[in-house]
Amino acid sequence: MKTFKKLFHRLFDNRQHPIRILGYTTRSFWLILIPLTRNLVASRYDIAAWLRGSWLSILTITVIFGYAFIRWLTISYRIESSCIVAKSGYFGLLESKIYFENITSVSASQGVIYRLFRAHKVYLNTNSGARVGSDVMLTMKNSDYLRLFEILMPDSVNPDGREVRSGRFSYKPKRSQLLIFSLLFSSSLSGIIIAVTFLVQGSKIIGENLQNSIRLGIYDLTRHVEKLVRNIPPIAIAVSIVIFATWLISFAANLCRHWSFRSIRWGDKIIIKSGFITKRAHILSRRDIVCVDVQQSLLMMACKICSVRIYCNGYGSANREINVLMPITTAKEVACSMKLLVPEFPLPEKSVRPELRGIMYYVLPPLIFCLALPCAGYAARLIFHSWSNIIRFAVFIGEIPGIWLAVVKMVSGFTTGAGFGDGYLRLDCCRWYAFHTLIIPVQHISKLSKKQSWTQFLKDNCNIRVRTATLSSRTHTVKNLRCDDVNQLFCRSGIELLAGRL
Amino acid sequence: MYVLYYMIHADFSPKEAQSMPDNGTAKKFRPSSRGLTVIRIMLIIICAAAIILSRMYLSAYPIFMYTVIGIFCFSSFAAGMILLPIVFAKSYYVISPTELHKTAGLFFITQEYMKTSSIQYVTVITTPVSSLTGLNFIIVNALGGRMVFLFLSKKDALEMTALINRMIVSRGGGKEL
Repeated sequence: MKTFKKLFHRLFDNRQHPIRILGYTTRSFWLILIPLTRNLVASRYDIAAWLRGSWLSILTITVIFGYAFIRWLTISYRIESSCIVAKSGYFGLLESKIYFENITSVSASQGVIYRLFRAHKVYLNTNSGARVGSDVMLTMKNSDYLRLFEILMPDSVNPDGREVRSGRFSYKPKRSQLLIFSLLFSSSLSGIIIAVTFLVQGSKIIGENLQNSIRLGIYDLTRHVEKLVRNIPPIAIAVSIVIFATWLISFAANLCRHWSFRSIRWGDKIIIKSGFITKRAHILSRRDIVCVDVQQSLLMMACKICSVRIYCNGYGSANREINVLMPITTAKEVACSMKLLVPEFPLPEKSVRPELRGIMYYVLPPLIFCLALPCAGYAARLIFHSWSNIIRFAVFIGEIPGIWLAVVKMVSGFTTGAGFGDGYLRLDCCRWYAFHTLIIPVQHISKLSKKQSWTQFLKDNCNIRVRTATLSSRTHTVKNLRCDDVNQLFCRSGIELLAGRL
Repeated sequence: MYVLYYMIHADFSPKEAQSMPDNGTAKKFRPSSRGLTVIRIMLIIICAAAIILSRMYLSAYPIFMYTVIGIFCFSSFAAGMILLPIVFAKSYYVISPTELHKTAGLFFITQEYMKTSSIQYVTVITTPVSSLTGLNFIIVNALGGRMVFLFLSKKDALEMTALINRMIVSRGGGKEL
């Protein structure tokens, strides 16, 4: 008995949760398993006949399962007091030792199946820009997960929000705010990604029926709508239906992902928990927050609300997550809430602004687009007569975002600017339809550049581009500021050396 | 003469590698000669397989067959006896308290430097029976990039990992939270 116990411990100690074995099997595993089960039922549970008839499939499944089991067996991890040692990669060939001090964020997610088996997917991230995804991903048993979180948390308590004691600061948005957040930040593109993933994976398991039924559904719906709306071409109706449906999928996914959202400041860490179907928890090192981004759209600006994002390596990089700190808050409350959650990030005043006479610099590109689109449409109609209706509709649809962009850019001419205070650089810029107020610690700026077009050269204006030390290669551009103002700002912020080199 | 020199001198013993100049605190490592031997064996196997397959499937086109065999034999010989020994002989890695340094290359030597203060964590790749084959690799993950040390003997790989981990600990990375 003792020997068996020893063997059991040697086999399961320091290993991932056994549910991970299923993750290591290929998708074709399910493709074979379903007909195999069907055969067993068809043979009325006559095992001998079933074995004779489907021995090849059984052998294939055994090989796939055996391979997955060996992979699971060779991958292990060890949580020590100051570090985690993980053997990952194929057959545990890669042995990484990550010190907790170097971890920027730890993310954990638990889906429905994982919850049933008390398992957690844990992603460990550092500031190393070597990998696109997480540095280490492990499927942990509940006990190991709690132990890891106990070590990472300053007060050695589990990350359950109910146990938040006094002295900890937490922010929990109202459900109505979460609804607004999901409504505003859902896009058809992410909906399409989710729908395509679902279709591809679903088709692999249950065949082409799913795709055919969806295609037929869209066709039927288009015919029904066509009866109601006479002047719009059917293709336009079908496209509109697809866009709306995918947006709805994205909305539902966003809502599920951010339901019961909560962010807690806990010592030098920030805990973010969310999720309805899949529960997620993130522990972020406050010291490693690279940038805070207060984001608004034009609509949000009119309603005086905003969303606060944070950039910390690892947070928001997996599973189409949004790196949000406060999903929705009012413009009045944002400073107070930030003091509560990230007190080290001040909100410096804007000291550099573009000149109002240079507003055409912002508005001109979308205006050119708005004027060029009808011209292109007219030319297209001359060439393709039979497509006239569709082209007219496409031009009309294309004009809406063009005009909206022109309005947004015009407003951005008044909101753009930069400032500096307490070692933090403030940048107010506009990327496409979103207004950003970025607060970046000077030590986290990895690259700074100043760019002039020939028209800007004549007026002594410039664009500044700031790149932060995050894995994503995003640059933040503030357009059309006066060169002298920019140089003064850089000198004040202690980056005169960089400014001198520009 | 240059090629002959490297053909003779490339296979240094691991003991020689250990006794490389050690300027006080910096330590120098070289790729293991066993790694080179393993690659040579693999090249011979690939070459033999190519010859067999060519004789099996290309015997109807003798000129084409001999050309393919010739290309495989020549490239395997060139790689195993000339190019790789030069690469192995020219490569070395230095670990100092302030930076990691890697020199490698064939005709154009590449030198890479990495500040030890930017190191985040280390990954060791040890293949089965790596103490015999010398197929041990180290990946040093740092801010914005990584440095890979190839074909180390197991002893060197473990020593390098221990050294780098000690550096992380010494700058406060290993303290308990």
